[in-house]
Amino acid sequence: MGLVLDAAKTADPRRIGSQVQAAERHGLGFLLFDDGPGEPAGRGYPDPVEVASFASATTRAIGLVVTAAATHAEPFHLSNRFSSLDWGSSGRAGWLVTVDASTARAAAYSASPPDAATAPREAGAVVDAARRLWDSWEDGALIADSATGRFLDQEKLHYVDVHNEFFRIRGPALLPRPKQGQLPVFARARDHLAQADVVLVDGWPGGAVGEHDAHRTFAEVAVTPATDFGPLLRGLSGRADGVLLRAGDTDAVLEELGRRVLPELIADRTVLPPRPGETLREQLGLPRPVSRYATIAGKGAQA
Amino acid sequence: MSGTDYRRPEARLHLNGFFPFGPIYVWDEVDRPEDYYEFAGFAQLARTAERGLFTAIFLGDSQRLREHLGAITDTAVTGRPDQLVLFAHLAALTERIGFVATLNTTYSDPAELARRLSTVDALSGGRTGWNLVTTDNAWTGENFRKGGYLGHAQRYRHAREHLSIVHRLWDQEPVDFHGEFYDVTAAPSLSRSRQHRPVLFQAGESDEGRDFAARHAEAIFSRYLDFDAALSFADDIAARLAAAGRPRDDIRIIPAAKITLAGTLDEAREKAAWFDRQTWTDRRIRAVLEAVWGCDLSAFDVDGPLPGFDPVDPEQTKTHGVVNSRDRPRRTAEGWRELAAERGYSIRGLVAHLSRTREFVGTPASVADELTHYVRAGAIDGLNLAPHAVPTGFDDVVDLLVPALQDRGSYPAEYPGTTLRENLGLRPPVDLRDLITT
Repeated sequence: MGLVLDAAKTADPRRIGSQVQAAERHGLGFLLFDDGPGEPAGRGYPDPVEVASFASATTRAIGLVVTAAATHAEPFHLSNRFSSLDWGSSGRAGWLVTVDASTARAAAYSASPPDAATAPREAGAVVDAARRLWDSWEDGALIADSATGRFLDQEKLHYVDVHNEFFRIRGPALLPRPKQGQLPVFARARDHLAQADVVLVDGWPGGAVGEHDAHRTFAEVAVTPATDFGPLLRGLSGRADGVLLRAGDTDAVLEELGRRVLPELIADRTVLPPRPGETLREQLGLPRPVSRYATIAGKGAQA
Repeated sequence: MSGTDYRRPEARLHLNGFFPFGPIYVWDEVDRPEDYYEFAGFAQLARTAERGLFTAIFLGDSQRLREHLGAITDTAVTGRPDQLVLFAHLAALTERIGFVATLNTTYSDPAELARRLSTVDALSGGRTGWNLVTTDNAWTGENFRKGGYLGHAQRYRHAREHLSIVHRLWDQEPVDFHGEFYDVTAAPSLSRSRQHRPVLFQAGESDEGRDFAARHAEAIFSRYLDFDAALSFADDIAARLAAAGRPRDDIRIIPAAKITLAGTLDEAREKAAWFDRQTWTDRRIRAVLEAVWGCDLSAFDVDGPLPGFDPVDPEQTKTHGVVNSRDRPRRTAEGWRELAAERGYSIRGLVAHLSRTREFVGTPASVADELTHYVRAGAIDGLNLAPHAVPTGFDDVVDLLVPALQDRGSYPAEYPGTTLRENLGLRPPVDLRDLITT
């Protein structure tokens, strides 16, 4: 079981540093660096991708999941940024993709808000484009072959040529395939995103999950330092693969988890803390996929 | 040269670490090609640079992988992590060195760019800069929703709109902007920067670009390294600054440069020649011509004459990201053939002639003397230094040249401040001065 904490909305380097190091020390599976609805229209959130990258420099094991809305976002920038975060964290990055059809976000992007039917389709298209870009350099594309003077193997780089109702993107990505091959993509159940690796359900789940082997299900619940964590978390077994704790007071909940809750749960193996060098996919039990382009023999980057 | 004649006898040189895309790296000496992408390599370079009191790490921009004859360029280190994601990581591992990101206005969004740069600025305690570039490149636009939407003539008008939105957000003003290119309603997401605003760099070469710099920029990434050319560029910018009502020392001019050091002048020259041979492979030499001729020239011996036939397409090259796509290949080819005939150049000789740039090659003492002369005469304020290799590329400069410059009093003995603005010795942004000096 992974444990997650909603990282506070701050760009104060000392505060972030002490939070993420405490979370790693306590054995949390990953942190969520959340974003505010309507951003970047000025809701007081720093850009969480950069905050997570800052956190990656002083941690070794904890996963770093970042919220980024797909709506109006440039898929090419998003894909490269998440790939970079994965390179910088040695494979500990994840993406919580959200749909943000607010007028505030649209107005920040000189755009109109999409309607309720269009917004999830757009999010799906953005995730698909990002995933194709992550695959656009096959593993082993870097060859640095002095004999032939080739740094790259052209045959292992691919134009993605995405063309849908929202955008066209040529590719390839700006940097080699991310460490995890594909970053785990998190999404909320209500957004019905077919391509999610981890689905977040709201509240403590009632029935058993597990019919979907392809993805993991995490329960997203609000907690306070006074929450009786032990019974709740043990009760999740068989009903969810993990839990995302949303705390109003991050520091207080973190302290409570570290002081009493996690030592017990780790001792009885309800919680397995991540190991240094472990990727987020490994922590979640998700295999590393091969590039979708790897099987297209003999077709390189020729236009 | 007597010190008393200098315009700025007390001036000090700024060194920046510069990572461009492209064929400057001696990559076949490196054990793992991944070192060019992994943050650990950049972190080692940044720490070395900070030990040498470098002012900043400076990254170039490219939003599409370079292509040669319609395929991805495979002869050089290509691609790089996202600049701001990398800088946020490096901010946690360093204390004083600055971070300058080259971000283009054409394919970025002002509210998003303002928030991202503010975030890295806050995480680093005010150590960021923005090297503002424009592009009208539709080829790059194929990676973006907007596509190739911006004409060449509009690019600075567009950049001014973009910049004004970013500035208002950084200045803590709500934005309700309706212009030619943007309709933005937004408020600042973060509080004001410790350095008022990230430092604004600019790199435009055109008349319009230089005027834009004189009005808005606080540092210029230039390409003039020959002493006379550097001095006349500095004078040209000074005149434009004066016309904009700004003092001459309101801007830092920092060209890109390579430095090669050794114990004797001969050894240094041999080392520079070795780097040239390593980076100018036969394939790369041939590629310079292929970019213009628009076809495969692998049948041509680089030590033989230029092709006798004309380029495939007289108007448009198929190589992107290197040669200006507005070049006229036939005219270029004619010019090169004339030059080669006149001077008896082979293909190799011609490319060596075309690629010859001013470099600083010598002993630590001789290069320190040269650079001290440049900076005291007011020709440059600093250099953007590209390393030959990752992660050891700055070791020589930091261990050998920096102490020699310090001995001459032309390099700081410690960081003057904590923000990039302080370390560049810059005033607050020009349009904020009346508000700040209260």
